[in-house]
Amino acid sequence: MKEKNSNDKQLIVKKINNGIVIDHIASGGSFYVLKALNIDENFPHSVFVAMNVPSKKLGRKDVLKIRNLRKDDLNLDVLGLLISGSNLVCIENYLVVHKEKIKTPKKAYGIIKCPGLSCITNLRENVKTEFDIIESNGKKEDIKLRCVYCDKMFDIHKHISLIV
Amino acid sequence: MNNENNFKVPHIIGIKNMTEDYIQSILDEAFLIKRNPSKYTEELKGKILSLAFWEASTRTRLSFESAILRLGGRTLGFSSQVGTSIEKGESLSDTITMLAGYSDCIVLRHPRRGSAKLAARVADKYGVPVISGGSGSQEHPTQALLDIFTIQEFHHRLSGLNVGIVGDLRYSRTISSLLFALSKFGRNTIYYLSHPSLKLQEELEYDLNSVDLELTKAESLSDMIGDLDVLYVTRLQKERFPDPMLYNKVKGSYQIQKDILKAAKSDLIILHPLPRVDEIPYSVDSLPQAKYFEQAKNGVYTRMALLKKVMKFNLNK
Repeated sequence: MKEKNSNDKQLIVKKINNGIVIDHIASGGSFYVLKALNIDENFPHSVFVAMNVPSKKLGRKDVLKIRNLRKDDLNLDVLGLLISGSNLVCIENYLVVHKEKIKTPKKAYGIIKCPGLSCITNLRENVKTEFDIIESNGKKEDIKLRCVYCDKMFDIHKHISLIV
Repeated sequence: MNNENNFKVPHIIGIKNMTEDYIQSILDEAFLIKRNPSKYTEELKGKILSLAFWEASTRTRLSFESAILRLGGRTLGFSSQVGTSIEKGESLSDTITMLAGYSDCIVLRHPRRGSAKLAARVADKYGVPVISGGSGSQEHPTQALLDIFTIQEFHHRLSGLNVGIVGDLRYSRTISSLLFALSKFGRNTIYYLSHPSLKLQEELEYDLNSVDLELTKAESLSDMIGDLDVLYVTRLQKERFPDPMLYNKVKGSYQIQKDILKAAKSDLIILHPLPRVDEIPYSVDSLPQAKYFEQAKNGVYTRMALLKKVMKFNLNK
């Protein structure tokens, strides 16, 4: 198979043999995904990040390719809160073995600590956090979480470090 | 109904998720009890109520105690963390599990938001109802019940009222519950007077956006007093102000002076959840509008009605 080469009009990123590709991420979203997946300089596998590239559908978009990560390594509820509407593709031996659209979950259980300082879930209690999802005016970009215990409402993008 | 989580037994976590009918049924029962309390002395005979107070309380704890005693039941519990295993680090969940085994209903007050809901989820497994006596700055549902009971007693209605609220809108669980309660009955207007640093919490504002309650900011007491049917005063907590100097500077603006009440309607009632510090001077106590001690007394009847409703559900345990 003949490999395409990058030129000054197109940047071709090498295919990955095993791993995941997330496409059609709203511009800037890849940054949050990397943080949520704890991908930093110590991550042992190749990560390709394309940020703010032209897209017919979105105007601008991000794309992520991460080698040797499987669907089971991802928390789709977290991704659904960060980059709802993006496409997840899983690759094995250069073949697409799974494809799905990332959707906003109806509720979120145990995926993030509550940022409410006086929330009971932040005491030493044996309780899983639980959040209702609130979409203001039905807009995905305005999604907020609301703690079912303390009522705290927040934007998950501002509290990525609390994701567990 | 008041069952937001498919609970097996009824719990009183907050007013937010109660229906108007459920609230009215408690008030109706409380009116009957107040008229003839001696009729109910055997109502909960043999039943035990746990009073679990992680925070200080005078009226809530003692009026619950009075209520269960008047219904023929008994109490056990604690009124501070001192002398309990909570001091050793025991969790809320473990404490509630234990109390569910010792009693037929649990009243708790805890400094954390969400504590009543967690307690309800734990105790529900054992078929024991939980009643919130205050969960952090979130809600204080039984206070709101006695507040609106008192309003209904004097005004004979719970809609079409002008209610002035003075004090701490941000951290007062009493105000949160009262606003939810007044929103259930429709066409009520709230005039609020509060320091900008103590404005409503974002979450409460969000909830109140979708209910039938008009909120209007007042510039001063004299600005609103002539329109009011109810003046609800709360304590300003010095520690909530970023600067103690600021507290000293502004506290006078929230004090109810006798003179200002001259412009009030003749049937205005003044309520306060108590304790007061200096926001209502003693000189106001003798005025016919001062109803805060009657309000505190009503805490017994409304809590009797509530206990009867919640614990009767559990009689076959």
